Amino acid sequence: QQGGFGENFGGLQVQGDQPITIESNQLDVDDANSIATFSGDVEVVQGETMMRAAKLIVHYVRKAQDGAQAVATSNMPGNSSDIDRLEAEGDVYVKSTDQVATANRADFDMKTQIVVMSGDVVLTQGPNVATGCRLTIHMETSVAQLQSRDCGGAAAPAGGRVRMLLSPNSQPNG
Amino acid sequence: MERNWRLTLGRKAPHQQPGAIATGQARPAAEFARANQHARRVRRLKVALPLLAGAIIVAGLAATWLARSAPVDLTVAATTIQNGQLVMEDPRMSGKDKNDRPYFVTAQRAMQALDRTGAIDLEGINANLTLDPETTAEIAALAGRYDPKAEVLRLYDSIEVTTSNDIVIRLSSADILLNDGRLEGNGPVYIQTPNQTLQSGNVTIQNGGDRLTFGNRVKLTLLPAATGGTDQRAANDE
Repeated sequence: QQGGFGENFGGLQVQGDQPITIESNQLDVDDANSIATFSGDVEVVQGETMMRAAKLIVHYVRKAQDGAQAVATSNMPGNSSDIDRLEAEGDVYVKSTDQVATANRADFDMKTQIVVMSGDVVLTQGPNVATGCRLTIHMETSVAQLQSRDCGGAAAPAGGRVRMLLSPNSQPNG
Repeated sequence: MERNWRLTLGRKAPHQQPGAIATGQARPAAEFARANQHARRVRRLKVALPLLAGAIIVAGLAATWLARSAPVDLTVAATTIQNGQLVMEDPRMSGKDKNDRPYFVTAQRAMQALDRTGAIDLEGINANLTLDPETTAEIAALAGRYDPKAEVLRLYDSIEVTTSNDIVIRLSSADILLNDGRLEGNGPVYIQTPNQTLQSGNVTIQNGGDRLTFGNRVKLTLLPAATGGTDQRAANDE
């Protein structure tokens, strides 16, 4: 049944206490528009969770500077700004301890802590495989919903239904 | 004056239980709900990338400012002419930059070619700049060459920039193209801020630091915010 399989997709649980590393071939920071683009074999790792994509676009929000707008260095460390949202594009692969999700793109909304993976979504856990066109993951509760209808244009699997292949003798390992 | 940078890794024991990756087995709804309550608070992913951008801007601005501001006074301990070069011992240059902030630049030696190029070779460069009201930056480079014709200042044999708010930037060399405010730094580039480290093969800073490009493999490590971080935000419990 759907619950056991998707519900514990802790793939994108963000542990505040573990370092995150982001690697890529190139990083372009466009500070005027507060966008940082990692491109080329992007790999993000935090603890057990890992994501790969062709490109990762980070939209950050600069904290309003109180008082005089200091020179361009006003966004000096110390007055921080937060990540607003992330967009991963191109063969997005997300792996957590025993679950893997792949899709064409993944959009992370940091405020709502919701990730939407869309386009040819394949969710696997051990031998079990489920496909659909949109996977919505609530990072805080790691509840995941896989859907295959009203995909908003994302590539849907043939037949337009979530297809799940459960291997008969597979007990999702604890 | 070799300054060793302090890698502060203050890490607070999260008041919430250590994050556990949800395990995979199926659970009835009630137990799931209960487990959910116990799910620890998740702190917002705080990728303080712009902090890092700020740090790099410091390097860019520091360099471009250093080059473009007109020196107010230049004192030299001794000048001699040696094999076609004007050798200045212990040149010191200080002045105010366009934002009326003090800076000073010293070098052990400066040698100006007396030929048409007028290029100046510098050894043991040290510069001190104020970047904004609360931040100063110190730049040290083993050697440098200023080419007035091409308006390029090249610093090489390891450059280190340290700022008053714990940012350290290291490059092996940098070309500063003065009139178009562009810095091309070659690596390995290493940037350390209180809770981030960035390493890359090279870096290009353009138009006053608004655009930065790090190339030939970049690695950014974001450390969990130390308890003492000025921007420490308690895990949001709403």
